[in-house]
Amino acid sequence: MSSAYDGWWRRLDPVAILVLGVAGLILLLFLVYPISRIVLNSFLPTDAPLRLGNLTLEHFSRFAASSLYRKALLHSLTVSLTASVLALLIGLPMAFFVARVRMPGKMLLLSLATLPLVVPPFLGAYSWILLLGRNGIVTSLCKQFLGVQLPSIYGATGIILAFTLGYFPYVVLLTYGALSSADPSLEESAQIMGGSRWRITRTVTLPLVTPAIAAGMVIIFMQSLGSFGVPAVLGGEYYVLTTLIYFQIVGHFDLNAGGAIALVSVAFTGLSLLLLHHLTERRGYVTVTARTHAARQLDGRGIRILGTAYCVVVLTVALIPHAMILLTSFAERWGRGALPTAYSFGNYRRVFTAAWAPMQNSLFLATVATLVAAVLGTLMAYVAVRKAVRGRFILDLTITLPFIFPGIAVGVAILSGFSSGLLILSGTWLILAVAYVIRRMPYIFRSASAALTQIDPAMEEASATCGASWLRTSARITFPLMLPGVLAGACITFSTLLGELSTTIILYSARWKTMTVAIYEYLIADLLGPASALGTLLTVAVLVSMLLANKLLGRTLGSLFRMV
Amino acid sequence: MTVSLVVADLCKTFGAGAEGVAAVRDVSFEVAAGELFTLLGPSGCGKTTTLRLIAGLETATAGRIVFDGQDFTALPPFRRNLGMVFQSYALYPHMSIFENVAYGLRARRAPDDEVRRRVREVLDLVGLAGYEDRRPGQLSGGQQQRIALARALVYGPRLLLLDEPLSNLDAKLRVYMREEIRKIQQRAGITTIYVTHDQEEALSISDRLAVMYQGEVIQIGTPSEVYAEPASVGVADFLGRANFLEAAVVDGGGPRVRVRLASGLLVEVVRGDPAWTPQAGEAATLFIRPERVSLGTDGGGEDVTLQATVVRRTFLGGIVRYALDAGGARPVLADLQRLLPGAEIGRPIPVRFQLADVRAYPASQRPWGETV
Repeated sequence: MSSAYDGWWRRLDPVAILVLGVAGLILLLFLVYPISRIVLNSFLPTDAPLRLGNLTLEHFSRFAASSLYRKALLHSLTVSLTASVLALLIGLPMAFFVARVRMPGKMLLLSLATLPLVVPPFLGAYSWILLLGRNGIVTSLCKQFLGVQLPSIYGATGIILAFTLGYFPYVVLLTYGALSSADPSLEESAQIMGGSRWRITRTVTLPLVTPAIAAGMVIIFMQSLGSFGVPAVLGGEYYVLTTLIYFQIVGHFDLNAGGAIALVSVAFTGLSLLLLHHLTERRGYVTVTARTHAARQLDGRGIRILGTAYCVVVLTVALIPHAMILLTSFAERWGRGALPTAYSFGNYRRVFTAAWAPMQNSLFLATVATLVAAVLGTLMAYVAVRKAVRGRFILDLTITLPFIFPGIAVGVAILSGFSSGLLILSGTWLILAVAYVIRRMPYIFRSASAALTQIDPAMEEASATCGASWLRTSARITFPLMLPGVLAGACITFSTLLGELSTTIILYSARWKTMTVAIYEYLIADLLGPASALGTLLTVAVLVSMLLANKLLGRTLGSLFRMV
Repeated sequence: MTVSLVVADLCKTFGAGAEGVAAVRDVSFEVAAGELFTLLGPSGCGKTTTLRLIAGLETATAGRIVFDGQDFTALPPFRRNLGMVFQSYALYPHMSIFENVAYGLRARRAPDDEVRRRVREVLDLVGLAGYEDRRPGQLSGGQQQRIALARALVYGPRLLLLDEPLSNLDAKLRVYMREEIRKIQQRAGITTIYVTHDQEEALSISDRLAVMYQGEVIQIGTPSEVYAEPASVGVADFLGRANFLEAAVVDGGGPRVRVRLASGLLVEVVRGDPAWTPQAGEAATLFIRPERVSLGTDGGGEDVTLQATVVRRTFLGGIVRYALDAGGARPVLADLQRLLPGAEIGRPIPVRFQLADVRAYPASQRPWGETV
């Protein structure tokens, strides 16, 4: 009811106008402009200047003419779709078991399940080569003891495997969330009306969690479509859209062709988001307001053993690659056997001297970008939610535009915008920082908006009636109340930026190389030890920042919000 | 009585043009210094919007608000020096109780020792001294309510606004807290505007009240005036249980109106709606409160007796409510102190009441929310 009021805080005061103006300029310069450039460029022949007569569809027509292009598109769609479906098949039972079966250590299981999501997936991808590659441990064991030749890990098989095991937690976490927040009375009333368990699952439970499942699958599809690291490591000759973009830009210096391919993948991401919107919007799902009691937990012996065993096996398989990286990072010598023959800190010593600069760069870039994104995202969320009644839609749309841009497309857009023309940033740290901010601001904007929407406007109104000016109200009430949401967003942003490769690979320079690029270079050069050591360090940094977020939110800040 | 607050021809329209919704239409009233004045009405009647206009949280489309000679109309809320308690209390979860209460003093840059002194005083006033270091989440609903009141009073505002302050409490606490609020308000001697949709709350707490419906003020008066002499069928029905009897106007000339009841009885009653000029032959509705209706033959002084049959009997604790068929479209309700021997269901029994308790309205008036 309160949101219908156009209260005093809706009025645009000078500060709001200033924020709106600065935000508008930043968005125009660093978001709208590069995206317009990538769109325009993709209709220009290679190296041609921007002129109306020059416009052409030649880059797009290659999808019809060139088998490389055609195959890349087909490959991208195949691996992304297959991975989404497989992730659903693996994730759905796990979500159900954790939500509805009495099992020990559920929270531990869920925390472990988030691990693959916070660790950059291309790290895990390489260890699949160690396990299942031509000379991989599992491959050798199978050949030796079973006489079975495993299929090659390179190409579609490996990519799908890495995507599926890297992203299935999305399905688990989202579906678990929906299952555990749906009102159990819905299922109970179905039981009372005489529905069998299977019938209820099919007609009540499943439809309730459909939006969450759909969201999980679309996220996985988008992530897979936009991933560069995994296909770069595991693809070999098997090109997908992202590796093709990289090939065009880094191999042929053809920014315009790269832009066209990026646009095609943006089109697919956009379509899948529209599909999701269509799926969830059309049906009037019961929302999760009144939860009277927890859902009944199944505690039959059989289902409990099955559930626990299933979750443990799935998580073990998903976490094996990460364990492999840890193991490899300490390996001094590795003969033909399953385990290293000697251990040492040699790899760590090596990366601390050889890769010291990338480590510093990563920390510096992620910190700067997170701070800037947090400040800008929060201010913009404030203006969008509390001030701009009419412009809100445009602001929201603009800021969230990078959502549908795969990381590598953001990289191409920023490179198109700032490698020539008035503002040349290529080769500097700024180009990476700008790309990071643009790419991650939607996340902070979203979490800050969500935090703000949940703040009762009466909090701000009470402050005003107590005699506090707008500035004082914002500083003492609004922003402190938004802080937990913003901090959570910032911590997640920081850790994803540490593991960022898709955008960085397009924009980095010899001076501004990041940890992920260093790892990638080690992998390409077959220097597994240093790659694993650096990867382990990265994983630790990411985990520390996520744990910090949890701790911050869970303990001190979370406790502030125990309102009746 | 010295007039403190003047609200004159206040209008508020949300949205613009044809889609605009008039939430408040030409609302005018005056509140005396130290008075507790209630805005009462069903949800959507414009009472909260009126309060928010007085607070400055909304901007008036037209009209004026003057407080103690100062024109409030264009003043932002933080310049009005008023205190407001919100329905949700709006206590700050990130601050201690002390800081919550001290908030208005800090905004006024009061020195630290004064802040401490005033917070202690106001916490004493609301009976929560010693709670300074707690967090809002650690307090019960009633305690949060009192802290919200303390926060609104601590800087000595001249006007206190209360927006449905009790609606989040359970029934028993609600009754207790409304007495507490009344006591605190009288001790502080502060002019107060109280918004509620609960008629019992309004009747019990107010010095005077304004009944609002569809953005307009329908009637202003003391609780007993408004309860006993409602200005319309809608007000009569909203303020409590009401009997409505059909009648026909015989002669509407004088201060009283002569009507014929369904039973054929000819009586003279007072007009409830002063704006109504009854015409002979026009259909009328007579109103009487159920507690003014008695049953049986004994007792004296009643002017009207109707023959009726007991239809239903409901035991409500303090009273027994009888529903009787007296030949009208709806049963007549009679609230008695105790069960009446012999008044069994299906039994015929006389229904009696005094004409002084009856008011007449045009039959075109209906209870609010009832479709014609």
